[in-house]
Amino acid sequence: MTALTLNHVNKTFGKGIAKVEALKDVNFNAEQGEMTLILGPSGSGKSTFLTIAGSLQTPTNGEVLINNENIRHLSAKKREQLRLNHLGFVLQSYNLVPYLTVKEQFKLVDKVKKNGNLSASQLDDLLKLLGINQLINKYPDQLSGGQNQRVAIARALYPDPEIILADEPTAALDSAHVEEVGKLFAQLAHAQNKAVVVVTHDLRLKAYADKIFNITDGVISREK
Amino acid sequence: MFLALKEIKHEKLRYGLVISMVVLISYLIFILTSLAQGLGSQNTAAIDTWNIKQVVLNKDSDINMRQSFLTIQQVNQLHQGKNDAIIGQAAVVAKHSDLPQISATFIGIKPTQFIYKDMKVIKGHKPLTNRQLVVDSSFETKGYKIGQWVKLNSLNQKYQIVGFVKNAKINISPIAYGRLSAWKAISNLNPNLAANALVTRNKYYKVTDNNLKAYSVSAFINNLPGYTAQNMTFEFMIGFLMVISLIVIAIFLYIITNQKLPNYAVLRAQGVPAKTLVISTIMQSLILVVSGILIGALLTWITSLVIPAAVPMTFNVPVLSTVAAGLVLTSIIGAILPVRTIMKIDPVKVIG
Repeated sequence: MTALTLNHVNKTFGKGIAKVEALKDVNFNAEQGEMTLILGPSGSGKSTFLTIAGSLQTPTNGEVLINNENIRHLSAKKREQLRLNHLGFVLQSYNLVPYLTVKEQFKLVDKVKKNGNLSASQLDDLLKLLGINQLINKYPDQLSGGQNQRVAIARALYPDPEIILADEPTAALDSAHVEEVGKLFAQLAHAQNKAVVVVTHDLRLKAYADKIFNITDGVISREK
Repeated sequence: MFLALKEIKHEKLRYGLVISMVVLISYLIFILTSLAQGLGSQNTAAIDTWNIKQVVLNKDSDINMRQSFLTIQQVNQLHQGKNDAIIGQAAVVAKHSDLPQISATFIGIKPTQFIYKDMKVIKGHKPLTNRQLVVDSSFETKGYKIGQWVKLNSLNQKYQIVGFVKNAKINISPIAYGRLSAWKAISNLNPNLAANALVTRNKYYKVTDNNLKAYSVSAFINNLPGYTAQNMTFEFMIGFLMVISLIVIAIFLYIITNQKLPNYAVLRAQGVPAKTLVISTIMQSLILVVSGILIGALLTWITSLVIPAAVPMTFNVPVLSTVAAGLVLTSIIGAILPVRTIMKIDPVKVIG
């Protein structure tokens, strides 16, 4: 089932000579049960793609459908609820609140999303899988970059979203942990029927992807 | 509340400094307010104990009791019921060998009228003769005792202290209560003059004499020499301090909120509603300011225990509570200022 669709999406910033076309006629589908990789160098439009796919901004033209709902017709509040309930973001900047312990990062999710989060045992299994179950009382500044990234992944998965959008999730990880994260994303897609979309320039993740796209100068194309 | 408390707990030094700033501001405002209240009450303490509503003075006195003189004929024409009292006021210097001189105000009263009748003597008794005085308790703190004979000004005649009363001050000067007949002797006035004023508890006292006028007690107090200027000085100081506090607190909260914007942007990206972040910011400001005010109030209370009695400070709980409420309101305004910034956070900025 298609979880995320972009139809003829264009995104333009600025006007006149300052005009930049960040995305050009992008057509894209992310299916549940699949891990999709979008590869591209810096400045290729990866982040713009991710923010539009994640309903953080709207395209200049074209349409974005999340679970078959066109986000252009949603109010800001509805888009907020959509992100909270259906999308999980894993960001390059770890997306952890610095003054909350690992355990409290999940408690914060419980405060804003009362239902539908992982159960205590499911969370425990996830933390064990990521190798961070011993770190639940630590603050982000007491963890390494790799540990922070794994906590951020767990934090994004805790609300049990159907779609996971990851922005350079392996930027701070060594090879061993890249493999771990790659396997985890693949497992989430295959075992839990999630639509996982990863934008990255890390070619090491190719081994775990079901579909690979390349993005260059705002143009996206499927890798054969 | 969850985010607000967790952040304060984790960032102890930063928020400790913010609370310290609020403590110092509130302590300063409380002390200044108490000083203003203390000085204010030293101006009006006696008037407050009389519980009067109006003061009848000569029209040409510029609403100043010392400059107002009522003749015997005028006094005889005035209605003098149980709520009215004729008084004479004179500036005196009380002297006794080996004791410091005291600049005081002599208030001459009639034993048949309410000021004498309602006088609450804390030690000794009310004046029974023309040569006896009941004085403010500040005389006692300066070493004066019951039974002592004191000279008033350069008069040859001496007066005996027979009692002490509390809160007997007018225009920052301690009062020596005596008989109205004694006032005449001390003032050495024209024999045709009978008093300085009539004070009354009647709100609608009627004056028929064209040369006299009944003034409200607030008009009378506001015309006490230096009273309005002194109060306005304090009011302006406290007012400016409140405005400066608003600016300082608002700047601090703005800086702190700005430092948190990247975190807030991430939370917004994840769908955490802006309302949650706004409430958290306002709650955090309230926690910081209320904690600071409570510590400031505690320090003020400790100060009240150790401050010398000579310092005119009054710790009036309702007034200080109003000032504290003003500070809380100030902090809410300060906290609301960065709300617009939070509402306008663009989560896109944290991605890519």
